[in-house]
Amino acid sequence: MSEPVLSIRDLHVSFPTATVVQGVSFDVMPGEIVGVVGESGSGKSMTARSVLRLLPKSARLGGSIRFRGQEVLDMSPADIRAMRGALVSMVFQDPMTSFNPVLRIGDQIAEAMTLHGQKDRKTLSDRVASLLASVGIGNPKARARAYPHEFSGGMRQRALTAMAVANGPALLIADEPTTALDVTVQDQILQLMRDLNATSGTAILLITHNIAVVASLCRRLIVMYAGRVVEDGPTDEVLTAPRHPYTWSLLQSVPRLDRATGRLVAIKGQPPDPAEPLAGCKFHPRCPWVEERCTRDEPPLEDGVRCWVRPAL
Amino acid sequence: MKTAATLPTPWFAPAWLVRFLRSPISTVVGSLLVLVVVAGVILAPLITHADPMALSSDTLLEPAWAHPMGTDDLGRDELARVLYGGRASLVIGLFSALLSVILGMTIGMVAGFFGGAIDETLMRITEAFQILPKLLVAVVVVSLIGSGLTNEVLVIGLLSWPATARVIRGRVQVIRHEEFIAAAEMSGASWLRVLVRHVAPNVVSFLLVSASLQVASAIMSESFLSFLGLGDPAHPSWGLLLQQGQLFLSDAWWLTTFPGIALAMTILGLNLLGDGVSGSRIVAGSRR
Repeated sequence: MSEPVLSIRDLHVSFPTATVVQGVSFDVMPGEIVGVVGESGSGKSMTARSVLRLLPKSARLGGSIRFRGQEVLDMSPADIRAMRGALVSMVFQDPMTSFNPVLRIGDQIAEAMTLHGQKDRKTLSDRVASLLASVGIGNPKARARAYPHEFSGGMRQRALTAMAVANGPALLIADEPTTALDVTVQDQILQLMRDLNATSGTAILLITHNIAVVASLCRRLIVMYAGRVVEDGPTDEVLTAPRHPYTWSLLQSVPRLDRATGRLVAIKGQPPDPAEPLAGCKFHPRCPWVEERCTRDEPPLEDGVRCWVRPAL
Repeated sequence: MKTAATLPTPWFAPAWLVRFLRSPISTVVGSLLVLVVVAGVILAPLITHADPMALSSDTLLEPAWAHPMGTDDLGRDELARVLYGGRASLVIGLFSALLSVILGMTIGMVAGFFGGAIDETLMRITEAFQILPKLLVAVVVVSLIGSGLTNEVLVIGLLSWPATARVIRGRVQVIRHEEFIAAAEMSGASWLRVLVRHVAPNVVSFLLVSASLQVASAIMSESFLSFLGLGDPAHPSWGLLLQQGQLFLSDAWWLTTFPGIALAMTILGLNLLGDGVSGSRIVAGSRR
């Protein structure tokens, strides 16, 4: 068994007003594609950004994040810069704002490589062209000279992906990479990620709230709720036989084409306010199977599920 | 932008000229005024053969063919003095504006980018400079350290950066939270690199506006100092000409009128230009 490329243990992220990530633990193995789903505010983006230490200054981090055995939370600013973009890189959600509007696309991709030692102009421009070609942008030499506003949303997201993999990272974090895109373009980006993973063995941590995206791409799925991991397992098992009431409710609320479901079931209530502490299981106010101890003690994450009751779903 | 390119272009007008004439009227008029002044000042030796410092016995002559703007009380050709005097005015205007824009940009970018205590400190210093009665301080300092081109540039430049700093700071505070800054940081860029390569190009269009207004106000400040007798007599500027001319206001109207027109044209041109640029697509676009 090989070493995990990323190993998160008991991660806590807190702000002066609220704790948004509490006790998150999981591993990502080399070459693995792991999906993290959860609704807005479940702490999935904060978890991802912690890996690159890209959090607001007021954030306090606790626990451990190990990248190839090295503790990220103890790294010096110089070590973090050396890691960012080279070993671990990130694709952001909004391709419209992720490029600097006044610099050429090619120069911005080249910069990612310049920052990590590649200085030769000829090599850089060749590499930029081959990267753009590899993400399916035609006439890459000419397109590298274009400005971001000359690219469509889908092209920008591909260029962004090209920039993220420019240095051949061991881990790619994709934070909602398809949320801002058309369905057809979404599909292209997902195919691109699948190819990247297959050809270069880059491990991918995919953050999304779109279950369809996860289902098509990830072998493993982590479900987060209120800053905690509530379920963690192989994608097909989690999707076909969910074991946590939250995962089950989430799947019930997804429209399906293959069977008539009648009205969609919404999960009643609201996610807990991170600023107000809630005793017991964080899902208990919305859970149909709630029991007395659910309101008192928080269940541990055991065998990939964080639930006392474990109803047959 | 597409429509302008597809409209038919007359054979006698190149595309850039058509594009220029289609820009806001203030840009066109402003740049023409500035162009006329700058061309006159640079091409002074071609326009007149008279020496601005050469004395003669033809004192206080009215404008005539030999002396289009007349002569002053020492018989010097006024046209030459206005043209060469513009050199002093423009040089002081340009360099003090350059100094103040560089200072203002640096301070504004650092304050806006880092925020917190650094921002607080820098902004309090900026406000301290802003509440100084600028011209009064300039008068006092110049009379203490002596006049001369360099001193005037330094004093005017060091007193006029706060406005630029505040504009740039506000803009940087917006840019700072754009995703592409996070993306650059994610690529492993240091703060200095992020600031120079990613933030600076996004505020340059604002600097353009700020700089043209700054040049105008620096020329005004210099004229004011010269008018109070703090100019450098070896480098007569428009302000100095006005000061010398006002002694003969009732006898020789041309000694104040022509430098005044030159000064007004320059200030008006620069202000119109700044106005036009701030309304143009480049700046409006990056403001979003």
